[in-house]
Amino acid sequence: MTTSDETLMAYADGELDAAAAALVAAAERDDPTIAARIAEHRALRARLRASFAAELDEPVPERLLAAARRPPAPATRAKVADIDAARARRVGPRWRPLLAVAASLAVGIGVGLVAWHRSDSMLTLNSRGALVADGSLAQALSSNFAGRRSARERVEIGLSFLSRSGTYCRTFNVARAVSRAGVACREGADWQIEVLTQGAGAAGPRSEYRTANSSLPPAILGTVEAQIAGQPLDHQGEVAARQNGWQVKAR
Amino acid sequence: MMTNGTPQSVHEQIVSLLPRLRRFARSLTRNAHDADDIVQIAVERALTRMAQFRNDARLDSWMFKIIRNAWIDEIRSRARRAEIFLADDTAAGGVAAAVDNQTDSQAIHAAMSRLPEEQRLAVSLVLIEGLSYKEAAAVLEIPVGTLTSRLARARDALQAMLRTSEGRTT
Repeated sequence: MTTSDETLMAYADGELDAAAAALVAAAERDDPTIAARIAEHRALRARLRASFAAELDEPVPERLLAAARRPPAPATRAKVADIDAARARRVGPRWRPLLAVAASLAVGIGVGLVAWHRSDSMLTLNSRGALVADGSLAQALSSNFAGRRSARERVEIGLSFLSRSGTYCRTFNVARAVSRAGVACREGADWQIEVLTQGAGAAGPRSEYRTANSSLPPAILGTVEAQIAGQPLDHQGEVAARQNGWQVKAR
Repeated sequence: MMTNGTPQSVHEQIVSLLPRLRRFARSLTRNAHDADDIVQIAVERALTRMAQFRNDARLDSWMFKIIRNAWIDEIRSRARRAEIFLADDTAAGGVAAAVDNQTDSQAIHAAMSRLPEEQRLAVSLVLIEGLSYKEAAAVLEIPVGTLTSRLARARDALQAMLRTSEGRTT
């Protein structure tokens, strides 16, 4: 009899009904090839179970135990994790005070949930829905000078320039296992991301842009070339621009 | 709320499932930190949706499904925020690397992490968590036939990878 490998697998997993199982059992007795294949399926299953058994013995974090034991939450809390949705929800004036309390509670509970996925975030969406720098990236764009990066910092500014649309823009590199580079331009109080690329990997220590211009990904160089008005800022230019909060002075 | 059993017992049932929920979430996210965050979200969702839980269903299957949906939401939300670009690099690293001198368990973990997600989830639910094909298919919201063929392909791929790593270490 011919038996498909899927059938042998289902037999090894105890998924066949009695009649089908009896047929395979007979084949298993008569045909060493089939018997070997069934044994292989069973062995793999046993290996997987054994290999992943240790994870069950790990201590469960307190926060998960607490979450499981917390009394059932009121229905309104179901959406708590989605702060954006909570914010977008329209509320009448009558409910506002109550919901303000609910929202602050939601923030308290939600922060724990949301913080992790924001904690390491360098990007966010602003109120207009534009992708802008956040966290340490925003900090570096506003404060750091090109080509200077302390060993602890992950963000390095490549070069700064005045764009044709009359805003300051800066290229940046995020040093991680997979490096990222981009161009951000000052829009009001935000650093709006114009382009973002993902590199293959950190290619060792980067020197100053003036000597390492070629290390900028082509997409970044292309953006710079398309947008730059004149020359990149020198150090004096950066100092002046920073003092002015990266706002271009009215002419 | 469940009609039989007190609310307390539901909480304790979930507590006793936590190790398995974490294990499943890890196979989903491939990152222990993400996994725990997703489990926390799923536990909170489950408790607010206890009314939707059918008493004849398995609590573990139901929770696995909530975990999977919470992860899908999270992936979408990250993509929306473009955080996918800057998500921590530990997600993909760590597991897939060294093949030499690894224990059998490490070899299996590494092989698992290299499976496509749909196959990895089939293996995780059936072979590790012990769900039936039917239950696993329900968690993944796919027909049983699809689950069966994903599982068969996953097994072939795992066996091939494990043979390779054994060949290299012996």
